Amino acid sequence: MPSKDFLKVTELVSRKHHPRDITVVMTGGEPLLRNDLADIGKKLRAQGFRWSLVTNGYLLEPRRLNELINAGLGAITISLDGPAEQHNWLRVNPDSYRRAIEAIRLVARAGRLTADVVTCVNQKNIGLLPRIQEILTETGIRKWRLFTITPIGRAADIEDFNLTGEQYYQLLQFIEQNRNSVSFPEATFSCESYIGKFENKAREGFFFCRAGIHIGSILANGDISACPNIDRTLVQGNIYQDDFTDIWENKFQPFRNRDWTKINGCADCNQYRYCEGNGIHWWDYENRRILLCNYSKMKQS
Amino acid sequence: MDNPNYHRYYRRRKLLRTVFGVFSLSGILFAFQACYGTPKDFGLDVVIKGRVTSASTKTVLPGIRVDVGLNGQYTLTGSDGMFLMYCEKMREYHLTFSDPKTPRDTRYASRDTIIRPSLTEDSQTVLNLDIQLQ
Repeated sequence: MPSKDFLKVTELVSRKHHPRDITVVMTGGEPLLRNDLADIGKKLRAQGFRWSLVTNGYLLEPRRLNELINAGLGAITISLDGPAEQHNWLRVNPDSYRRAIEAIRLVARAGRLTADVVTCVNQKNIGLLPRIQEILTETGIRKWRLFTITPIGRAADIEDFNLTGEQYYQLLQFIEQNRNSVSFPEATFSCESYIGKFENKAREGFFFCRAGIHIGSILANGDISACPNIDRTLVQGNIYQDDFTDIWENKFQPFRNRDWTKINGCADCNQYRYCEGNGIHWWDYENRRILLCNYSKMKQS
Repeated sequence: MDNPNYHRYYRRRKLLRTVFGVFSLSGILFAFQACYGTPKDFGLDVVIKGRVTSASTKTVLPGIRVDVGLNGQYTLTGSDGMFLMYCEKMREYHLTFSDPKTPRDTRYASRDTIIRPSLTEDSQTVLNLDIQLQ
């Protein structure tokens, strides 16, 4: 997508909403593949927005980070999915771990940035969480967010990606124990799903899926949706045909009224009033089918 | 629309908090990211910008390195002699302007400057400098 098309949309948004209350998160794919990222960031700041970045860190060397901070970058998230072997296995790149660690060290030293590391927990690294914790402590990073894989795309077919209910429970226990650690980076669970008795313990605040309520996205082809990992049948429009602000104000009904999720197992579940159908990214909207309910999985195990 | 949650969570003019810009899309990476997002940026920065000119000829000076003394942060002036950088909010900045490119005998002398901005809580502080190098 040419940057001017994206910036045209943000310009419209800035006229209708207060840009100071909005953060533009650049994600992907890998946003650092774009050479015009700093230029885009500078223009977003000129429009009044804040901006941040989710990256695998592969292309984040000192000069690039300097350029991004100069352009008003305020927050950054870097992915690290384990020690070298496990990280490189998941990323399918033998050099990925080394570069990610260098990038984490770099952002940990950058006083201007609020930074964290995200770890995608899977069968290969669930037993290595204390080791990852040690590695992160050595880098100087202070915040660590853990999440699991949604069973879509490649992850739907590979068993090693998905945790059992018992492992999911084990993950949440680990986070709870390290939630307020002063010796290690502070661990927290992502906003991915309702976690029953671990609510407010493994994560600050109670579960609430913000997709389409606080979060809108523009995808590479111009599609307008909520979080970028949500089922494509929930796309609400396209910036090349629609006014983003009009779509935001007048569509997004499936995100804002989630009664449609009260079907099948969710219809009779006594936790529904807390989770309201869980995170939208767990749903196959077209077939009105939840891909996975981690709470049920934990309970069954 | 009848669901009370709809009203509780959706105040449409106020709640557009985050816009995700996805420029480079990879189907595979969708599987890896369960929840996108970054930590909150508290916006604790100031804009330092300005123009660097020659004290003798008054012409603009491109390629001048501006160091701000924070974790090695620096920028270079553009073809119009202008520079702009967002910097961590501090009580004072030790700025150094140096000319890294031209041969030593024709190089402009480096200049150090200390600025102490009056920082406001709410609005973005902009420091606008006009620097002349000898």
